[in-house]
Amino acid sequence: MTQDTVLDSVRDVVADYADVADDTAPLDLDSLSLIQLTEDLEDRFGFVVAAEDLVPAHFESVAAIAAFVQRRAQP
Amino acid sequence: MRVLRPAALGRPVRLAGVGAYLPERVVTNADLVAAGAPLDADEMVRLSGIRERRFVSPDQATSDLAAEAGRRALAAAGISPAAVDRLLVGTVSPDHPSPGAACRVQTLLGLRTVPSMDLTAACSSFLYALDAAARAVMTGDEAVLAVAADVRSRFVDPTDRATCALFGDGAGAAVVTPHDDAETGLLAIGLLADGKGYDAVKMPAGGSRRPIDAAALSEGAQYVEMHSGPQVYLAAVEGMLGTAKALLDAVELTFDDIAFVVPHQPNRRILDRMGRLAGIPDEKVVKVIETVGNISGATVPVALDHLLRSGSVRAGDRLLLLAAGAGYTAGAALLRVDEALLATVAR
Repeated sequence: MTQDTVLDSVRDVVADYADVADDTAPLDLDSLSLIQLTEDLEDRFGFVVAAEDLVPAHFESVAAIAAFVQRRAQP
Repeated sequence: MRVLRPAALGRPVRLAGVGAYLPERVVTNADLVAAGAPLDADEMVRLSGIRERRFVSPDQATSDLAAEAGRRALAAAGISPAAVDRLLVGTVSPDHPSPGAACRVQTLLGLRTVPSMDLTAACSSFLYALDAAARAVMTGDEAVLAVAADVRSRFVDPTDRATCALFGDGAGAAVVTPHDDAETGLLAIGLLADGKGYDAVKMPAGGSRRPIDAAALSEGAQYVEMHSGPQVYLAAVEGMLGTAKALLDAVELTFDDIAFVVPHQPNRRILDRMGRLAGIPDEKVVKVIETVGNISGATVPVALDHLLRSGSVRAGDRLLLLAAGAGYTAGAALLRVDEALLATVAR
């Protein structure tokens, strides 16, 4: 998957939980939304998020999530 | 994770009886809202799957719950208090920091002056107690009472969004004895701890690092705190599935060989995720969380008692007990139900 494709897909998933107009804007997610978003990303991209990966650096914005997904989805 | 297999070492053990006790006072989500909870009753269900839980009465403490669960387990096993060789009480909420609650439980049950001690492994405490009980039986004890009991309601901030709806009070117990059949009983048990999770769920004050003083009380530091609920959520599933896989690999079985999974239950969503990731059919996962909440280490024996009394279990069924808790701690145990254990639920 290309970087742009991942970014588009992540934006699509995140849109159910937050405003995605700005890829770098901080996401203000409550606990339940973060859990649901995590599991939606797992379903969309086919990997399991580890507890140690659920840190702000990976989930603070659409761009951060896309970068995380890109790294995790790589073989 | 090192897996203990009592029969493989020539000393099979079994659970001779199981018992549980829940205090009578039912506390609904609406009751918590009325007490100042910062989320509504429907949100509590959506976040946790919990609709109600039990709280102790003002005159009850952990030892009272533990004694009643222990009494019921002994009655189910048909074993007199005088025959108990050892008492283990897993708890994070003893009546007092010292002495251990187990010494009061010993008196309440009328046991002899047998070794009686508390052990602390948070929500994994029943499996830790079960492991210690099995080892004691393998080295000569004839009957060990393993209890897990907690009064969480006195350590929860009723206005904390992250924790106010999650916890309840209760106790569960099992009598562990030698066995004469290597094919049934407690076939395997394994435990682990990972101190990297030490700060994830904790009660900051009340111990030697920070005694309770006026400042601690003003901060609410005597209450359980959980700063990263989503991370704890994922870690709980990893703990239960990680120990389950290690144990099943050791005995060369898979989840397909398990009739029922009896997990710790901090949150209904955790059970759903665990089942989804491991491919466990929902009907195989024993759930009591909707009506009891998270009762810490007592959850597993309370759920086991519920399962045994449900009429769903057959002799020969394999049950997989799973727990994960603060620390982090985790454990898994494989139990193959024998005819005699099934017969005890009628007592």
